[in-house]
Amino acid sequence: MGGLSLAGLGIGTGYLATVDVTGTGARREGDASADLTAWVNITPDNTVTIYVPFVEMGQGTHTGLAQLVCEELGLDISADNVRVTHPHEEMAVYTNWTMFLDERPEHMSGPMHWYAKRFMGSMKLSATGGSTAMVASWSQMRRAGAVARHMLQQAAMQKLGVRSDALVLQHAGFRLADGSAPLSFGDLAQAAASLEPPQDVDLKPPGAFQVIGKPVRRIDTADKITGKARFGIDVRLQDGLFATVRRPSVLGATISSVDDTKARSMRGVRDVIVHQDAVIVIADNTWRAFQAADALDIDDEPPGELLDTAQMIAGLRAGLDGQDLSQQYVSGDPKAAIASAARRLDVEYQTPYLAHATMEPMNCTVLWRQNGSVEAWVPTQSAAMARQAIQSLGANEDVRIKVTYAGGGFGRRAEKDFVTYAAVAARAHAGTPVQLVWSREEDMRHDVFRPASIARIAAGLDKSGALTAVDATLATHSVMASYLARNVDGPAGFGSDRTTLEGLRDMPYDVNNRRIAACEIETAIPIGFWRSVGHSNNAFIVESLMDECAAASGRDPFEFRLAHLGDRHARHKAVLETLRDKAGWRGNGGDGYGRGLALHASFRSIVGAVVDLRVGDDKRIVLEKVTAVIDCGWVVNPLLVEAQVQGGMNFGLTAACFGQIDFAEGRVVQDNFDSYEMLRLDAAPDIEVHLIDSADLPGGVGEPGTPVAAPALVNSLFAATGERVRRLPIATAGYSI
Amino acid sequence: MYTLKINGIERTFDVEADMPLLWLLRDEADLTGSKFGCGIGLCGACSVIVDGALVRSCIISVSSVAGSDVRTVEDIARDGRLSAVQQAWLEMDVPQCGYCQSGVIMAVTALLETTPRPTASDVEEAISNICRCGTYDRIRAAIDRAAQILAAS
Repeated sequence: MGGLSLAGLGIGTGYLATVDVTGTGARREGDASADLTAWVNITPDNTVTIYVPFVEMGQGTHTGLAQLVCEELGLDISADNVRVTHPHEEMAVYTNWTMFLDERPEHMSGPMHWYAKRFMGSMKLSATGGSTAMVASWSQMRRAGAVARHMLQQAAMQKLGVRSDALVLQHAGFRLADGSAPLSFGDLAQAAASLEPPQDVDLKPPGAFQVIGKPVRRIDTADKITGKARFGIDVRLQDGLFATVRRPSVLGATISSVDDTKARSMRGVRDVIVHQDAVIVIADNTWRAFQAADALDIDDEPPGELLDTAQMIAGLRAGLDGQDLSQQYVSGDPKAAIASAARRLDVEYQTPYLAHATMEPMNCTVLWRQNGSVEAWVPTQSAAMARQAIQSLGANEDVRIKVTYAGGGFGRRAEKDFVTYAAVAARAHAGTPVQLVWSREEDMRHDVFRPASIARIAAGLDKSGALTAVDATLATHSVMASYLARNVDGPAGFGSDRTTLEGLRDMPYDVNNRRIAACEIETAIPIGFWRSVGHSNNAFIVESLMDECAAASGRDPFEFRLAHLGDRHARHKAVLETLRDKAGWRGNGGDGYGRGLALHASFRSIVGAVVDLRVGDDKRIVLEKVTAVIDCGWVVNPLLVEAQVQGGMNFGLTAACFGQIDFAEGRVVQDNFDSYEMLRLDAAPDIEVHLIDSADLPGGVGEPGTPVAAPALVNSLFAATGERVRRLPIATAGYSI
Repeated sequence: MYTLKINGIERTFDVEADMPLLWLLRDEADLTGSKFGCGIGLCGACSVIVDGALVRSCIISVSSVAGSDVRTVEDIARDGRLSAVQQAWLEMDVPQCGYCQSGVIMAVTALLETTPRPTASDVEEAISNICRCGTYDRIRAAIDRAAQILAAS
């Protein structure tokens, strides 16, 4: 979501200088506990709470980031007195600068970053997305642990009248070298909190790591296997009401009238509220609210133009035909190079609209008090978005967002809509908490969709089979334009949408002559961030193309890619070479058995994968195995990385096999798991994940496993059958799984 | 009025005959471990065990389970000890978001009660839950591990 323009906002640097961007001296008001930085809180009973300002939606961020603090603070992460939670208070320092500025914290310097960090900090822009949590926190949260340790150590030295070298750090406490005088962090925290935080602290050298890099088990598993974990939908408050929302199924329709006579007469129904294009039913049980919503008679006025997939695709194609470009990047002379190529390929790749289908449907719980202050329990990827949604409905400044566990996010929970409807319901029943839950059908029909795309490509190969030119135009919709129009009030310029061509514009292969262009077609379809965003389309395009070029020149797909990776891409090469070795590559099959390869860098990591499959005469596929290699820089927790690569791969395979959202007569056709199928255990392949040992700064892992799935799958199908599938999902080519 | 034994305790509820068991559990009995995923019995997030049999509680009415014995994920750990399935889930670090896992754990619990040493195809047939995070590799490994734990006990 990066690249928001800050120019011309005219906020004074005097004010901005007061914005805390370090968090080392942060204090919360109120209780007997002590805050040592914005990330560590210690109570007198020696409970250490680690605040992780990123939503736990499955990626393991509460475990991985807590490891950073535990490393420096000498904590046993699995101990009963260590708690990890999302902070219940927004702070400037929780702003995700890495995501918004598209830069590592370690590389931020100079006046632009000084200004941007403080300006964004003043808006408290916490956010979880772009696989940035570890990248953003790697230095920051280790430093938080080190600062807290230093302050506790100073307090212990003062209390015991000893020098630092007389103290030995142990789990949540210090003792003297002879084992005497144990002091818990709880004993020391109050005194420590009154000390000035150190400006500079030494961080442990990697060679001394005891927690980072280790296969630490997740801290949230025990609660998630016993039913104790509270997702947003599980929030239960005294005298709370349950609500749901129903919108016209025709997208863009406005409500002209609502007959709620029957709904209001039904058992348990407390209220029916019409808010813009939505009808909200409030009852004393979620099912009763669903039933009453079914009984509503909503008369709506459809928009002038009804959405239709065929028309949308025709619109993308017209964009390609007209070359109505919104972005273009040229190097060399692709036209001349293609004209003089020994061999020319002309191909078109097409991808569909996709829904998120988080397992936990959209929901939010809000308590709107009579005085206009608000408390909200939100499974959200952005507390700031949730707060703004509520404040724009007339709440006062005191809006507190409690970020809960989320049952998947994948970009869907960066939106405001699910917060808005719950807040509207709660505002009408001030003093009573209201939980608003969407039915699965509402969740799918009123999702924000991964944009469809068509890429038209000409490629040139020389006599030796080397790729000399790529001329590619991608027709799609801008995610940023749609997201900002929906979610951000006022001007929010972002230049060109860098997500549109990500992974295509910067394809790593050596091609001297290239033109990469985009036509971003305006659409009434709500378009949103979907796990791996532009990469989800563009890896399919680039890696299908590379496979076609390798086949056209009769070369092995590994060898062909390696030959086109220069020295600048040593990490890509290492991933490929490791993958070739781990997958036991000996050619790519044939005769119903196929092995296909894809390589893609995204979110500061590189993933390569080989899919092994069998295809029967009836085009029925058995996915036998996936071998994957990831270079994500420093591996903080191999168990988490493995899980994310496996999960990202299954997410991508699900989309490649089945995923397709269609629009007909203005409506979304698919509305539940019968029409929008998911990969299940019986069809999911064994996925073996290998990690590259690296001392580089960490990269993201939540998304990079997804983009390679589709191209590795179609490349494998080609190896097995000789049929090149250029349009997703593969079901459109008659394949089933 | 319907009386059910939920997790060993008899409880009576004044609800409609056609209220799905899931919403009685979640919104009336305050047992939120069973999850709402699809509402039409397709995803398995709401799976519970009724009279020893696995059911998808979002499509089974309260009246049809009156007088029955209902077990939910909240009650499979006994006397503070995790069940074999839960232990295996913990050891294998299975959940990601975890939202579907209550249902998966109930489905596996039911499977192992009838088939303590399931084959790969037993597992593929019995476990049709959707896990959007894609934890299937670890689910498979954890089922094997749970069967081992059960065999050793």
